[in-house]
Amino acid sequence: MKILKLEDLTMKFGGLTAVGNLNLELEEGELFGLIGPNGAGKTTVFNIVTGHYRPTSGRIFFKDSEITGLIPDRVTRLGIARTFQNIRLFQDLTVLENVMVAQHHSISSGGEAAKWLFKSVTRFGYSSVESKMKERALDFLEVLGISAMANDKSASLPYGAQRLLEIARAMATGASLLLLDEPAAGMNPSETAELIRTIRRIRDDFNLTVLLIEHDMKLVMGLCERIMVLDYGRTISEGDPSHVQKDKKVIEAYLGKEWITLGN
Amino acid sequence: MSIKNRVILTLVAVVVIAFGLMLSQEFLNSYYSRIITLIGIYGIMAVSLTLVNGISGVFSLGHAGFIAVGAYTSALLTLSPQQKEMTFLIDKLIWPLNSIQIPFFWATIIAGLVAALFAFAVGWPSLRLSGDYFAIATLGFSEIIRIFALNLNWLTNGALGLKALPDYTTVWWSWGWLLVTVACITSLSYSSFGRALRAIREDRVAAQAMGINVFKHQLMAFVFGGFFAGISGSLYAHWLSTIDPRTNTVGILLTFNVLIMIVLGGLGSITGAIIGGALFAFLSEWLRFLESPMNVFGFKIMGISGMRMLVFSSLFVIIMIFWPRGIMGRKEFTWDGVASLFRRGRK
Repeated sequence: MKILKLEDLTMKFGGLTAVGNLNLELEEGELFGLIGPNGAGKTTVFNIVTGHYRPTSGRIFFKDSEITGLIPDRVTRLGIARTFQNIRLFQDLTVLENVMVAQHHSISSGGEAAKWLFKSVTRFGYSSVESKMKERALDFLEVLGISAMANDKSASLPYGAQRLLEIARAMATGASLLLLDEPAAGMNPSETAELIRTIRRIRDDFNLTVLLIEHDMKLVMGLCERIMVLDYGRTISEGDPSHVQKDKKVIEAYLGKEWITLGN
Repeated sequence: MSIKNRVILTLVAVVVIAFGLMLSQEFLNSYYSRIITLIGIYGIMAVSLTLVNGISGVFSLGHAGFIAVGAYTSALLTLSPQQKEMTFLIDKLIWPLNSIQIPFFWATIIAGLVAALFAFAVGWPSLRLSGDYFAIATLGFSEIIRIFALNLNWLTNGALGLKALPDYTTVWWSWGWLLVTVACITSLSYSSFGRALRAIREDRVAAQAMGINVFKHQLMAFVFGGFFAGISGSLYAHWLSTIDPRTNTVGILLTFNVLIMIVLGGLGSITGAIIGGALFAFLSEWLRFLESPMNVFGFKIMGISGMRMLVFSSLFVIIMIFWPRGIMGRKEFTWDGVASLFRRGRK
């Protein structure tokens, strides 16, 4: 089943076409990489899929139902969660609380929200759901190897751990599709190697589909099964890593035309 | 510390405070007793605003509006029909308000509910605005309430205000309601809902990305805050025993006073809000001596009215310079905190 399908997606900011006629199909369980030079429109694609931007034209389907133009929290509740390129943790909350917040929509959306609100204020029959959330949150922290820092303020975490916490938080929403925006930015080579193993493991263990943006080619080539290259908002290449690496258009986009003529 | 121990300690603390209040009733004169009652009322005002401004991170400047709504609602319900007949000189009070009188407790509850309804009506459109714009919208709302109060003769008796309210608000009412307010708002803000509110305060976009409906949550907090503001308004009216829309009893100055309380105590801390409220009530009374005639180095100085607000403001500036996050910051009083303090003491 196609888990995500983008049809002729276009996003214009005034005269600038940030994303133009993008078509993308994601199979369930796939590890898909979105790469391209700075300003190619990769994060814009994420912002459109998660509902932060409404596309100028085009349609988005998630598990065969259309989600174009839905607001971000609806999209997340349907099962698409993201991380942010410029880390956006809830800084004053602890690591554990950050992950617990991601589960809050399970009691605050739908018809039972008022009931849960009443239970929260009166404390009748509330503690069981709190401890269940806590347990699940700790499980996710365990999976990503940051459970030792559970009670620290999230702002005090080292950079790499903050990125892992963002992934834990996104997973805790119960999403089946994860959009990771530069998960390895700011990590050293050994941390990146560890991250590759982690992403692969969570994909297998939690039946996730992962769409990621990354500049670290080692991670992209080592992890992704399929890659799409964007430049100026348009697809210039798509395929498996070895195909993309040899594509002249890709080399041109990254290094310029001159380099190719020189190289030949 | 186990939950059971914490509950026991809290119950013990409540009993001890109640006993202290009983002693104060027994041995202090009525002037001090009134200040202690005021501390409870200010506490409710400050804690309810903390939920909105401190914990949810919505900057509301309309608190006095909800307090005014609560004050008028409850006063119109507790005044006796004869008294209303005597008070409403310009226009007669409309039916059925002119012929009913209900007990103070129910009047207070209704005051809270009506204020909550107003909060819903104000929050629904204006919470779609962000940050500063929302502050201005709520500021406008509280002025609208005051202007209405000043002009709707058939409902509020206009500029003459409401007088001779029975002074129902005892220490027990004000501190009892403070207990209820603190219990409700503490459980709310330390539940999953409160965590979501703090997440929204920290990063609105990320909170949305976690599946949280930001608008609904902020509206919920705003309505909750409005409810308890209405309660405090009812208590305040029956403490002052008059409501006068011309002076700043229920005008914008009250909003700023409550803001001072919560910022002084530490924005985002419920404990801090209570401390701020208590300090405010205490200092604004104690500093009264500045406004009475006094001898300074042999010179006789006539009392200057407004002097205490000048000193109060200077104190506030000094506190903000040395403790920019207020007395408590975002910390709360917890039994675990007390226990660790003792442990540190023993070492």
